[in-house]
Amino acid sequence: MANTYTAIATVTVGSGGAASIDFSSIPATYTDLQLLISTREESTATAELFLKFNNTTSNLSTRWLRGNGASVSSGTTTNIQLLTSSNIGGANIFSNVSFYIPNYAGSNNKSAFSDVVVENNVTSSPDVFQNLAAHLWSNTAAINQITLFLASGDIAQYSTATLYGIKNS
Amino acid sequence: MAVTYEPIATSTITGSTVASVTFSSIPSTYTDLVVVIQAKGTFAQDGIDVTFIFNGDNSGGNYSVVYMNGNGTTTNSGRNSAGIGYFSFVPAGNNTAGVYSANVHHIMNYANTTTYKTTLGKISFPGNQAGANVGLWRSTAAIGSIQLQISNGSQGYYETGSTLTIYGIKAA
Repeated sequence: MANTYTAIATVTVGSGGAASIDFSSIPATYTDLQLLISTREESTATAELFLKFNNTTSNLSTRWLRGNGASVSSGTTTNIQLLTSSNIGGANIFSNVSFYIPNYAGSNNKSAFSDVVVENNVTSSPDVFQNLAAHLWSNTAAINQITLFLASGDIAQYSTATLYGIKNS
Repeated sequence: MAVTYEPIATSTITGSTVASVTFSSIPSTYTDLVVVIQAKGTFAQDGIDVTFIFNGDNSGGNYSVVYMNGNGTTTNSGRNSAGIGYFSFVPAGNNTAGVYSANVHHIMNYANTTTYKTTLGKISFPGNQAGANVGLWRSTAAIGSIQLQISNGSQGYYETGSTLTIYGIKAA
């Protein structure tokens, strides 16, 4: 039987960090895409990791649900915001992100789900949370490029991202 | 290398009068199941449930769900123990055209005959909410069929273009 869950590409950030992580020329031969991400930003800012499709930040939206160990909140953004860990919580701590896009090459608008977690064993910090989010790219084009980038600064060395293609037949 | 993650069945809605999709004869050879629901309902309301019915058990009383969600302004958590498998929630007729859900439900150890069956659902309803839930089917039977029904079966249909897929995952 053909392999259903296939690694398309993986990126590991090298020394010095990287301004972005990019997956281009994504083939349209799969049904769904899943992106598994482990990232960190080496600053003391609450790091905002963003994602864009086909090199555009237009027509994106997010509706999120977040808990940080003390309170729960919900909000919206006009981009695809994933969040990541930073140096607030200490060294060597990376976020974990799962990002799922069903029917990424179909002719409807593109819906997606993300699940982001950061834990740093610090009792009070803005840099610890679990975040669930519903994302939308209001565009009927097939997704052929996915780019991860920060609001500021570079994605830290040893960050990784792997893009998988999933076939439903 | 052995294949671990396999599609079992998929259904893409092409008509306008499909209110329910049933995946039957699910083999017991996997360890876990994954149900991906990219769907929209036609009923004229803001969002609609997709009901999970295992092995044709629609008698009521054997299902419950605990959920949490956020709509972009407020957060919500609750429990539904009315006995209906309201495990998924998708856009409906009053929501933006062309916007479908991106929901993923995991059913671990679905074929064992010792425990009740638990589902872990992740709900992506763009423009409405993000959330997660835990569903329970109080039966020790192995799951051999899954029916995914729009609401109670009398509130509209699946929108054309909706896709429902079941994958099997092997632990070894």
